[in-house]
Amino acid sequence: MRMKTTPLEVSQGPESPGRKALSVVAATKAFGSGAPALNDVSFSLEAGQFTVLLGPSGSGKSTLLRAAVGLVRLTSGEIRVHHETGSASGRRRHSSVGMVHQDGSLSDRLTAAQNVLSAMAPSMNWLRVLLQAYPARMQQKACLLLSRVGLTEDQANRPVRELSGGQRQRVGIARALMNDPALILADEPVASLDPATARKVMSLLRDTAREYGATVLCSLHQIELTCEFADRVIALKAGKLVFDGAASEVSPKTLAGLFDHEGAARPFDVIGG
Amino acid sequence: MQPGTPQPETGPSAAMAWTLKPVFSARAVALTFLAILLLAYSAHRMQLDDMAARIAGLVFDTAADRTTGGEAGRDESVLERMFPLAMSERTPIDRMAGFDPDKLPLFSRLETVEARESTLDPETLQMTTITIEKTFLVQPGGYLALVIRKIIETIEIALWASLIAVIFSLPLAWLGARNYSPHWLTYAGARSGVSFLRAVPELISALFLVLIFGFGPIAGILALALHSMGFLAKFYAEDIEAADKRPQEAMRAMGAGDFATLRLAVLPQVLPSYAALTLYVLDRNVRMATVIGLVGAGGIGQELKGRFDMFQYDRVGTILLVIFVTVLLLDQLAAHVRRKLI
Repeated sequence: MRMKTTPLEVSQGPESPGRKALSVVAATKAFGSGAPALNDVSFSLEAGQFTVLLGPSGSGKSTLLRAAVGLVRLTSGEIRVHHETGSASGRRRHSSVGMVHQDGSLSDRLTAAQNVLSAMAPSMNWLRVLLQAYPARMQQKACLLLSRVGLTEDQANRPVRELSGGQRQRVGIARALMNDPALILADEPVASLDPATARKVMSLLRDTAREYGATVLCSLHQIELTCEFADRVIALKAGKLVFDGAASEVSPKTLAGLFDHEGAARPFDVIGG
Repeated sequence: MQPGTPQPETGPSAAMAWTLKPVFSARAVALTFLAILLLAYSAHRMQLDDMAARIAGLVFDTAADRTTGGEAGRDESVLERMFPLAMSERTPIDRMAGFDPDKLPLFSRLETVEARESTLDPETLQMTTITIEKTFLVQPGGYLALVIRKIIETIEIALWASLIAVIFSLPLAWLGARNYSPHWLTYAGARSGVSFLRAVPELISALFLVLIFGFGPIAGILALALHSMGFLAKFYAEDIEAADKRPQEAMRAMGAGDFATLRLAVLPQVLPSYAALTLYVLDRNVRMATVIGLVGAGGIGQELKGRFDMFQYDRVGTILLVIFVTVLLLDQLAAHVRRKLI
């Protein structure tokens, strides 16, 4: 476990061009006999970038992110996390990836600090896990992270069910950062938040990821947030990759094609497209 | 909608002709009727009509009850003979080994009564009535104290049974939870074992355990613990299966194994429910511990059975009162603890 005492300042562009953080190679996932949730999706992420995975509900964003951490097994293809060298054993992969989930992924009755510290449980022995006896070094780090994401000492010691939705997502970000991930995967981290809080949480995610030198792949369905925060946009529709490029290249026409299916709201109206 | 039209009509005029689904279907009405018939037949078999007549007889104290009640030789009913409740203990001192009149127990006194006794005179072979003095040691509240000691023993039996049940139920619940059991064989084994434990009534297992371990609390504790285990492990396991999946997936995504996921993502969720279940089992075990004493498995039931068999209904009344008060108090305590935990 390495401790980063000085946060890494990563500028807009990747520091070492060509260094990959994640490769998705022909990822395909079929649930049952229906249309595949992921259909031959390939791309790779350059280290240090903030990439948004854009798409309507059911487009396969969650499946892709869940496959990257092993919650879903791909039917074919593979997803490689590039931080570690050599063979990617399960545990090593997890320790270099942090994940921010949708609301409800924290243990409600544990305190914010205990939730952040739970990220270290996989590397501890069972007795320490049972008693939640985390080494002081880890506890200090959890406190630092919690204060970085904007929580007070009192809030850190409160069960997360007593925190607001925005505060809970902040705790989720702190948990994802706890084991110094090279890559942060965020699955609709602001889906349950109001627009103003969502923007704050998104900027927090972007800023902390930069400070800690982590690459971000964040799935979203909100176009405004995508345009505001993404360095790069990868759009999925019905499990297929339909757009891959800089946020500035996203055209109203692309969005219309992406979100135009029956019953869906037309979000491009919102941005005046 | 008219037959023959290819497209369903829409609009208010068509909606006027809609038929809404009836709340009670003909099938449901027929089934209910059938059920009532079956119940009526069963009620006759179970002598429910006789029961109703006799309860009415008891309540209204009619002459019909006196003839059918069956209490032929006794003037007083059991209920009447319970009062006044026996609180004190009267022991003839000549039956107490090593009794010292100068060292009386606390709050006790000696009482001497003259009693007339008919004896056979060995010389004249005639019945004579002699007057003898009999001294009793009277301990007011002495019997109540004995009953309270017994009920504390009963509560101890229930406590230990519940504690043992909880300790063994937790690993059983792990094996019996479909989503955490290491193998389908361990799942099937744990579930069927737990069902078996639950299927054997305490009273039956206590009978066998008394044969093995003899009279006393060991049999009681084991009988209650085995049955509670069957109950707790089942509900603990079902709580694990029903726990919110999202925190568990978050732990899995970080590479946590079964143990860390159970401890950090499942246990905090199910703990209030576990506490409520455990309190219920404790409450139930206190009540059951009084019952299994009837077969000799320790506690107040043993005392109750003895007094009942000796027709000392005033003492039985005291025991029942103490059991009632204890259950009431424990219920209040459990409700208080539950409020604190949830």
